[in-house]
Amino acid sequence: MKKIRFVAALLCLFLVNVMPVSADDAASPPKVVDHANLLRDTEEAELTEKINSMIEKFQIDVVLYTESRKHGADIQNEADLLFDNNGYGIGDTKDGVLFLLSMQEREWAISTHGKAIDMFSDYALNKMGQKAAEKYFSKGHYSNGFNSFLDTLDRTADNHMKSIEQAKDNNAGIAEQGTNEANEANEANEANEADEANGSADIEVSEEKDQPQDSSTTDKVEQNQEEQDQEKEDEEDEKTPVDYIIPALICGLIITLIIMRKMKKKLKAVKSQDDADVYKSKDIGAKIYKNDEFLTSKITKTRLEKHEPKSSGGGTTHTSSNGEKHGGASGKF
Amino acid sequence: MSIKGYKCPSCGGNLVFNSDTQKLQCPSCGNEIEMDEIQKYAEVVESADEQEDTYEGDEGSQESPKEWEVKEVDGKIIYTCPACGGEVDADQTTAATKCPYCDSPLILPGQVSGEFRPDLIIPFQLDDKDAKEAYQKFCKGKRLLPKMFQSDQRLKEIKGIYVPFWLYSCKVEGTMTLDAQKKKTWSDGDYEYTQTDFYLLTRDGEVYFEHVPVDGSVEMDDSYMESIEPFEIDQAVPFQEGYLSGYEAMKYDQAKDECWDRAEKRIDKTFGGILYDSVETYKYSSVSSRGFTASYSNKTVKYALLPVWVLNVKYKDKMYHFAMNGQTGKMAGILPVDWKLFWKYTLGIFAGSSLIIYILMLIFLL
Repeated sequence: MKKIRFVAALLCLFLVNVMPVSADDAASPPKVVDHANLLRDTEEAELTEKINSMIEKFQIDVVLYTESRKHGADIQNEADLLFDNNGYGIGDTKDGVLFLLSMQEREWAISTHGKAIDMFSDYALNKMGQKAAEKYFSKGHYSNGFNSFLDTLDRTADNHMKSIEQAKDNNAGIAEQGTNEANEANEANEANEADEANGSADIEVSEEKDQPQDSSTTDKVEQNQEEQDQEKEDEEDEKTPVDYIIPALICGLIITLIIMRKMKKKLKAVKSQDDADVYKSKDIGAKIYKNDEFLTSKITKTRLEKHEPKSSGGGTTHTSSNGEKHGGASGKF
Repeated sequence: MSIKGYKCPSCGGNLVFNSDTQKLQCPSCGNEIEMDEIQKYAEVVESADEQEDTYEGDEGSQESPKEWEVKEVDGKIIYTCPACGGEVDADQTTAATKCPYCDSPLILPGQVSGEFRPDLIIPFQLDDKDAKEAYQKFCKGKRLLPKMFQSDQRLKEIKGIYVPFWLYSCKVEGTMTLDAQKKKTWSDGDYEYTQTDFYLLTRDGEVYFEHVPVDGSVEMDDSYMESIEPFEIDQAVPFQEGYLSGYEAMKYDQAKDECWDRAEKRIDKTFGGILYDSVETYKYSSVSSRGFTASYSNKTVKYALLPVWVLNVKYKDKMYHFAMNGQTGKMAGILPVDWKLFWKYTLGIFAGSSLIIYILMLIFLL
């Protein structure tokens, strides 16, 4: 019996040690694939390091992929296929995210698979992609763009994990409360009555479990995330003195135009009078009779556009041409 | 054409109107005479002259005072100055002028009598020195003005002119109709509702206008004359020829009916503005005028001579004209631009302001 326990313990230790290593396995495909040559080697190394730490932390694969030529009509489908065909993804469900940047038509796409579909909402994916594309890729700052994407991905995944843990704690608390109530009922009543009390407690717990995650908590988490994003953006917006030259010249030009126009206008003091304001009689005031008549009224109604609810329960899915279920987002820059 | 010149009762010199004292003054002996007195004096002298003319056979027995000689050359009327023999051109609208050589005043009473007799005149309140000062002040602080433009040698001519004006007074009655809307918006979560209430606004009104001036001379630039407005018409006095002595004067060559259109446009604009301003626009989300009618009654027109100083400045073979209100001193004119200075300033301001903004950006934003 002792031998069996020892072997089981060794097996457990082995599994615990092996699991993280499997993510960093040397045989696994590269996490940064730069076919479009947009990144320096040092930048690639930095990004890879960041990705590896994320893989360890969240147990999902993260891939950055650039290409100079597009291999299909649909950029989203191409991202899905790259993920499916190159052996990306961790675990049986192949959890992972792939960010594809295609330079041919200046497009981007994010493909999610497995539990990553639930981790990132469509809204979050779109925002991550758009931010990186509009703020960095469009200006040629590719390394900064990928870094921004990874940072936002990290925060979003982190928030998702926290909200799940919080939901678990809440459920555990409710379950514990239900059990306590049942115990009290046991002590106070006879065995039959105690059974009834237990039964009612079970019902309460199951009701709580069926409820979706607390929406206010999720909203707060997303709000915090947006605030953090904004702070991060502000930090990233740091400009060099050279960046201020053109705005200063434009302001100088506007000021010059205003001043010179004013100076030139001073030289001309000829203006036809088009009214007779000063010749109104001072002795006899103007008499005005007012009449405001209501004619009719009209009411029009317009359907309000509803914003997509911010859901932490993951994004919408589609199926790649390989038949795999993916989530994702795409756009242009 | 009869000619008139006011002579000093003491020395026989030519009397001219002095804007400081508002009296006629003899430049030779300094004698000053009130306008009413000189009028009476002139009437007595004229009647005595007429009586003398009835005597027969004594022609040439007494030395008659020298008068302006008139002759017509190529359709132009030329007056010869009795004092210096200088010749003075006068066109069809000239009512008063003076000899350009000796400043002897010349008044043509025929040009200011009958239908051309002005009802009112505002005598000059400011003299040529005031006009020069006003011109210098007008040029001051104009950084783009060529430096040489202000020198006295550039000022080729300065003359005080009584310009003919029509002064229109009337009562205007009219109606303005306007469309107005009030909008209210609310929502029930699914739909946004907008309620628009439509109103018809009517504004009836009557306003009196007094002495709206329109320049009745083709020669004078209307925009210049309007630029030196307003004249203080309540300081106008009944017309007397004596006020013209020493100045130039013109009679109108645009009839009052021709000039009414200009006055009507100005009156309409002000009247329409009064009616529109009476709408409480803050009560409505939008207001737009649908139509406006105006009719005029109690219309009276007065013919007045108003004082204007005209300054002509020559610079680089081009004449620049300036006009100054002879009553209030308001100046009008267009000064030339020194383009070298213009570009110098442009570059300087551009460089300076850009640099300052750049430094401020570095201090506060970096």
